[in-house]
Amino acid sequence: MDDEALMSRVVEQDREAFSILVERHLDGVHAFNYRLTRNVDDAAELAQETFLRVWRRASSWRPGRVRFATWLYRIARNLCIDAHRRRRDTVSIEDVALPAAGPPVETAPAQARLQAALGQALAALPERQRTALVLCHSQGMSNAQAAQVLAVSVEAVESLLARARRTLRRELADLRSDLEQQ
Amino acid sequence: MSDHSRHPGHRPLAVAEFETLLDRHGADRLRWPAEQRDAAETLLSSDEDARGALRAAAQLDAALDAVLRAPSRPLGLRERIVARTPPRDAWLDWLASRLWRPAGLASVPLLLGFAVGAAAVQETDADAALEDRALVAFEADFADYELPDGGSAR
Repeated sequence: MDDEALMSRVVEQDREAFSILVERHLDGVHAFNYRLTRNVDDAAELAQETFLRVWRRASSWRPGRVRFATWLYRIARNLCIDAHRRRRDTVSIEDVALPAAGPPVETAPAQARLQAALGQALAALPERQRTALVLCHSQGMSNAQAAQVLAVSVEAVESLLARARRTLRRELADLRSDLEQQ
Repeated sequence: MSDHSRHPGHRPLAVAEFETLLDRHGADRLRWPAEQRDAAETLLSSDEDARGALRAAAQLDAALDAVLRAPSRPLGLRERIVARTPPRDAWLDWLASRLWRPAGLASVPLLLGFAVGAAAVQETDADAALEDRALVAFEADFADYELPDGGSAR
């Protein structure tokens, strides 16, 4: 049964259909939230709130107007933006500018420094550029699907992606150059 | 007829165009528009600058894979979510599904009314506050003046 059929059952308060939808999309939404917030606890909490909002607002979903996955990721993105604003209002700017590193992986020191610096460069990108990159590079969406989530044209998404990649590629080249000189 | 018009999918790519496509779609050419892939392969087979641009894009993709690696979701998260779904009010569901558009339109004049009313109330409150402040200032200024009948202003 596809997402849209399941959602029509969720509108009728069918918890089993909801459970199937959650199972189908939870990993993706959780990873998306983590990639935007860089915080393990926030990622889980926001994933939970995303799906509870799907349940509460099921009757406002319009089949045929937008795919379920698009609607789902719009909700997740909005919640991540709200969480970032709350964090920005309560946490010092230094803490925001230096996001936590990703999950621990075995890396050489130079590689670890490179990843940490790239993580900071990624966090410093404007939100729409970062989200477009996460949707297309990590979540496997096409540029057209990402455009729907961001509610912009495909051309606008491609412009966001191009600017993000140019910035990060420049950062990466500078970092590699610095590491080679040391 | 030019070669391009006979084979529009095989129009030669310039290196600058190739770099733009790398920026828009990344190094994985499976994500590229199909009509650009053959032209990209042709360019890569003959142009060192294009191969350099592809290497740089592939390095960025690999670095992003590492930086954006996400942890697994916590155990039991799905069960927690499903367990916390609250009962929904069927009447509100019906309202949301059937009346959202008319209700949205109908609420526009209502909201405008609120906005105008709120502005008027704010203005009234501001005027009243101004009058209060003026009265207090007047009383303070004249509190110690004796009135002709021997009393004071306060």
